[in-house]
Amino acid sequence: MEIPNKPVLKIIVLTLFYLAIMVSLTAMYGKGNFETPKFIYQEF
Amino acid sequence: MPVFLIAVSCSVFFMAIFIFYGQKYAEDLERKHIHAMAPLYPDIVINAAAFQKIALDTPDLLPVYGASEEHKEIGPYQANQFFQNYPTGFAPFDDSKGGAQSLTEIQALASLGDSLKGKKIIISFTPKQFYWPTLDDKTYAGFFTNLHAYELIFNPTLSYSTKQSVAKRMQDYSKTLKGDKFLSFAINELTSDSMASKIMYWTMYPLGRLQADIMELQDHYQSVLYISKNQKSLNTDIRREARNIDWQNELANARDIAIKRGSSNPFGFSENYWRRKGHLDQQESVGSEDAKFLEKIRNSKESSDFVLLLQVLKELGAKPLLVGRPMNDKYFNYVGISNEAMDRYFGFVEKEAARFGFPLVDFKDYRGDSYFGVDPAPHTSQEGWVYVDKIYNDFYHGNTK
Repeated sequence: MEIPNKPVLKIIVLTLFYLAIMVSLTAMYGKGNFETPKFIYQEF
Repeated sequence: MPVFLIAVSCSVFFMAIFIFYGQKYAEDLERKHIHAMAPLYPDIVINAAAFQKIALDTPDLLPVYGASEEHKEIGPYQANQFFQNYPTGFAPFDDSKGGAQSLTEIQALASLGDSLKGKKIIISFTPKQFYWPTLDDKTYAGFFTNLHAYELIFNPTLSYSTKQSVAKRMQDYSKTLKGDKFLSFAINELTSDSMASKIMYWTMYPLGRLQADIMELQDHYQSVLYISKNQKSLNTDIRREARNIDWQNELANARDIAIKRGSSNPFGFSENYWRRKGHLDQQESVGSEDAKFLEKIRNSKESSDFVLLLQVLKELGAKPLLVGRPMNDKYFNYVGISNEAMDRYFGFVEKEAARFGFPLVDFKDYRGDSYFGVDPAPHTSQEGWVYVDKIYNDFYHGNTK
């Protein structure tokens, strides 16, 4: 895909492109993991 | 200015706005569901911090930090059940998990940071934690999360020496630190007393703090996912039924249940416990086991962890009520431990609570009541729960002496 020659349009397209990357990375890796190994408490 | 630099700046700006409003959205969602979460204590509440912070900020919830004594012996008088309809205007928010001890609670509480300032919470504990601590590697790992660890090690409110003392204890469970070299390195530097290590720790501090802040955002992300996944089972329409509690009447009813459940043995323990135990301990002469008992408490890391817990609460500005449980003197005398030895345990807890200026209810005077607990720990019986419920109620309403 060729980036348009108009500067404003170029900025908008690039901004959207970078934003899409950041949002995708956040969605993929942003969750974190706070799970602990399962253990069964023996005193019950 | 190159076009791509403007685009990068714009996208970072919009991303910052997205994160800011995303966090607000998550907090609103957590706030909306916090009452529905109160009686459930799922792992996401215990292992993370977002819901706990919202609970602290919710006036009609009283956060309770403890272990299995908060969950065992389910029945109508267990605090979660007894206050489920907010009879006097509040309900406990249970942050307890079986097997928890002071060291795991320290990390959970540190992750709440300044949210704890001026907030009433309950710290529940049992004598068994001190004379028979069970925080082995496996149990500790069941509580350990990087979020709690980062929030403690890079906590801006806690003093350097307190963080250092807790970090030394965390090193006893080095397996949990293996997966994160940055954290492990920071803990090593923090626990070393050399000037070079101090400089290294403070050099790492901004990065560690940034990581902790990122984890806080991830925590909100997890909470939103949890709520969306469990939307159907989370009932936000909480039933509230105000009523005057006749404590004497409740106590009489609960005592009937406790006596019925504890009639199978001479110590008033529950039938369930007694069946599992399977035999009567050998009777010892009273006082013959005192030395062993006191040595266990003296050498128990739980005793020093408990003091550290109080230190952390003090530095974070919390307003806790420490709620212990009694020891069944009929049983402990039978196995050779005298009342004087038990007094040493109560004396230790009372002295430390007084040193930090925290109110304490240790139920020492209930040692002669065989039906307060369902086992030696003790986990709380239905009768015991009525006493505990009344203490929670008085504390919430500001009537604790």
